[in-house]
Amino acid sequence: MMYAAWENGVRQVLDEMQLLFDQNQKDYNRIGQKVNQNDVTENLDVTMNSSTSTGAQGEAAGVYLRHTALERNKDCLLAYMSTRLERIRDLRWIKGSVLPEADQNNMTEQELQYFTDYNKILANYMRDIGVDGDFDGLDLTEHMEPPKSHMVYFKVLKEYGEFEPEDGKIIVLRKNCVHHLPKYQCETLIRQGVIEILTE
Amino acid sequence: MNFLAPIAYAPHPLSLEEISATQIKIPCRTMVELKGFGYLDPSLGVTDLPAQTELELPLWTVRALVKKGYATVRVPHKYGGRYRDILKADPTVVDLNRISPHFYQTGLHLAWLPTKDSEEIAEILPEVFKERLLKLSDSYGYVQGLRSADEGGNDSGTVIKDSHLDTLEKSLLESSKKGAQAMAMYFMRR
Repeated sequence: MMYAAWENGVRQVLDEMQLLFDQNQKDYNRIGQKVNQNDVTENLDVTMNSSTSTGAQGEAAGVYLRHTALERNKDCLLAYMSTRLERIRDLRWIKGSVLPEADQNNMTEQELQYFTDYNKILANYMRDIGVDGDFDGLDLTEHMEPPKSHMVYFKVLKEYGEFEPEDGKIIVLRKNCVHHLPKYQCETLIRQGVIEILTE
Repeated sequence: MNFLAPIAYAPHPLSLEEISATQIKIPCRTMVELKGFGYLDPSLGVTDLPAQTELELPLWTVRALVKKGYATVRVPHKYGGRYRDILKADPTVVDLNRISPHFYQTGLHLAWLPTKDSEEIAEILPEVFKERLLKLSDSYGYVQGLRSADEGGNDSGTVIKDSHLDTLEKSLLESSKKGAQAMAMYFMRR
């Protein structure tokens, strides 16, 4: 699911960006010197934008175009990286908090770090949700598919007494009894730890 | 089952779709000299690109040049008058992929550029999309057996061929099909 990072390509792009930047820096300084030589008191920005001398404007246009290319390279790199990071985030939800070897080998160190950080954030969030009583937190990643059946069998763990679901029939929850109710009505009881769902 | 329910098409500025969509070359004419960029037109063989050169540059370059007034731009051939007439006549049979693989996205960018046709381009994009979307939704009415838009539907009229779709339509079709299949499987388990 995760492909190897194209490190060579990224390095090439970064090198090209460095080249462009250096070239631009040189040209910019050269134009600056020319302005000083002609003993013009206007500052460099005005020269860049003026239409009086096409020579200077040509230089300015060249610098500007190179700058655009630099930004384009930056955008490409950022797009590539952000797509990879999106994949990594999806991996957490699909494969769980420990990644298989194959995927781990295809990720760079920084990406692995990103994964662990994302894990931490998600775990903290899940822990914070269910902090009432002695409940340990809600695992959001557990039930990713809608439940297969509407009604569930559950076993009562603690003495609870009377429970009235929405259909009005009062049920008495004694310890170790098995009951059969729609799932959504058991949710609160599950959270409180009163009942436990029986999975066949 | 893809329960991460992706948004079918979300080209935010840092996405790969944007990069590909702005890569297309469009014709423009430089207004000023571009020092050091003679290599853009190798037939001239000079180091500096002279003013008033006509050449084809990628959209992202042209966008930047036009913003500063360093170039003027013309509508590319594929979005020109003749193709637009074909699209206005019957958008559902047109091979959008051949015009441009990211037809809508690039069209959006083009409509932003100050060409004489930019308004028309902006108008035609939603029209084309509407018609093709209607045809698309007819195309995969038969979810169970449908593997591609080529099959089926011969008795209920023609469908849009898979290869004629552009990226936006393709991803819409994919995620709709997946969603429909997931629904069907879920109901079957009951």
